[in-house]
Amino acid sequence: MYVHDNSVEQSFSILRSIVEFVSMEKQISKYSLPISKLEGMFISDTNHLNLKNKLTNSIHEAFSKSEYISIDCPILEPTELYERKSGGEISKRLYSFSEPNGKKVSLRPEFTSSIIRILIESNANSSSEYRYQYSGPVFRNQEKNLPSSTKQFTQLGAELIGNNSIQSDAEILSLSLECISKTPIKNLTVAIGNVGPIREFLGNSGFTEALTDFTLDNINKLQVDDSTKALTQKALELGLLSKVVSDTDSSTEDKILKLLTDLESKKDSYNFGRRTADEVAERLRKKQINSLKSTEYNKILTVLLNFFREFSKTNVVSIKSTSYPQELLNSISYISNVVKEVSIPKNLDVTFLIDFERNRGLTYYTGIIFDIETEINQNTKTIGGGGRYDGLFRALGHHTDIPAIGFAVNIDEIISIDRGET
Amino acid sequence: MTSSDLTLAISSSGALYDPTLEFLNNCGLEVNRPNKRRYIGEIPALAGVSILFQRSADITWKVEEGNADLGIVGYDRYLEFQTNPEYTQILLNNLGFGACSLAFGVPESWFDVSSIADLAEVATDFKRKGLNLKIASKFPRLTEHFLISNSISNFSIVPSSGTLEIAPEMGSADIITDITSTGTTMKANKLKTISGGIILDSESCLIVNSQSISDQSNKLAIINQIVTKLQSYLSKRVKDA
Repeated sequence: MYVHDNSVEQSFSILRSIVEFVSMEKQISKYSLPISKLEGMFISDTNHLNLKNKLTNSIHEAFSKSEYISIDCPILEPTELYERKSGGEISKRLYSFSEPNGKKVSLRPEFTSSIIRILIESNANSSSEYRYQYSGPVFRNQEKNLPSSTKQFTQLGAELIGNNSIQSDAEILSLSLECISKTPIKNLTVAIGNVGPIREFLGNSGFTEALTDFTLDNINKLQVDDSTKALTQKALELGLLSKVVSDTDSSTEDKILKLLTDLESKKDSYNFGRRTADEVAERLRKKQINSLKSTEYNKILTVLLNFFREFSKTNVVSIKSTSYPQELLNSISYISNVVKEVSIPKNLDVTFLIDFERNRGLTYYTGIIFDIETEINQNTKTIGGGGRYDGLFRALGHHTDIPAIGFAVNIDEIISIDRGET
Repeated sequence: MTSSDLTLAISSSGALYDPTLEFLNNCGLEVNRPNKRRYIGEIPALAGVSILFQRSADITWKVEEGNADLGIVGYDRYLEFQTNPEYTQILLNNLGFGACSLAFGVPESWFDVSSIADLAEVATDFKRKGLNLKIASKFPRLTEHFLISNSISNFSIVPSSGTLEIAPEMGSADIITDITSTGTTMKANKLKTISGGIILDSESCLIVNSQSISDQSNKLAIINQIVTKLQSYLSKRVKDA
């Protein structure tokens, strides 16, 4: 007769549990791999954090003495805020996602747009001056092939709004140098360009706004003779230049006249979307007048190329050459006048260079634009930069333009340089 | 289907479904699909190959993820839906079917817009009014890349998956970018194409998971067989033409 033995049954049960447990552990270890930090996201160790706090506090204190008010902005903003500022150019670098209600939002890549939006919401007065300072994390999805691409970093900066004088440009440059003077970096190059007079020169030469933006966007490619031909060809392909074959060819004009007649007779039957029939007609009339030919475009690009060759990457000096159009010479003399007004902290060794071939997009800037650079182990590191952006208020929906200029530095990069980590 | 089988992903429906089956048939690789609700099929003439029927938009990532070793997909969708470019490669370009273009569609009423440069100016006009040119698209990545590389920046993309062509008329976007082969659908919806406004010309292509053609892969031999059959049909077709 079989006698049921509880102790044997219990042993089997324990054994089964052990087997199941081991098997489960194997499963768990198979599927629960450690989760790594996202590439490019920043971790501040205690030393870095202490240095960062000390540095930002000392800079904020100095800026406060110059009456710059501290402000913080949302880390999450509507994506359109950044798209309106820089357009699609920045959207490929945004961390964007949709809220559950479908609204497109992005982590902030910078502070400027939020600050301007805050001023618009509080009915900023165009005759008043506003000074703001800020610091905090920003997020930019970098291209994979960029060296030391840090996708999260601490930005510290300041904005001066409501003033477009030479003194305000000098004030922001001085403030950026004062900021660096609080850091361990002592040797600097400030590379300065001036977009405003170049825009004026191109406009006076018959460029449309789109052609001006296209040219400014490609200005860093304008370094060799062949580049003017390549750029002209591209502008022609895009339809930015007139395709008129000869001076007597009036077919384009005839076509436009016919379109204007059609538009007038049928405008009630068309849906123009967010444009109006009048806007469409006005642009058509402008197209009639505007017909820059590729030879003229190429000629103007050659003037720009020679001008950049003569002055770019040179020290800021008074202009002696007079063989260039006045607007271009003004761009240099303006830089020179700004630099004369800049206060350089005693503990800094600063070289000011003229530089029109900035790699970042120029279309957003309307006046001076500058990068702050330092040499580390024979490599040039850009630690900050800024510029004038007088068109941003209107682009963000304000009824009028309000002049503005600002700068920002990358605090984490500066600390990493100090600690010999780059 | 066994785990050692080589898997080829193709469209389960839509514009590329019939042409893909016809193409494979012409290459001597007739596909057997038990019924239209079944998402796995086989090539009786080639043992060890499974066919995975997928939505066209999913084929790229199925191959990237290694769920399929090979895929036949439109070049447009391949570029748009790549998330890890190093995980896949194109084995054969231009398979000779599925030709189309990704192009801008602009309201016919915009008489002043006939080129991409005009569009750039309209985008600038919008910016001046505190607005952004809104573009509805199923191909946001390709559209954005095209605009930025052509120095047009004042735009925002409204990702859409439904019938795009009515977006401008409904007011959810100003213009669209969409796949077109004849332009008829655009015209029917009061849209026109513009000069310089072709983002991409596309045809079907054969893509492969990079791991599947690594030295360690036992699938290499069968991939070779498939590519040889496809190449042989393509070169014969060129000679006959």
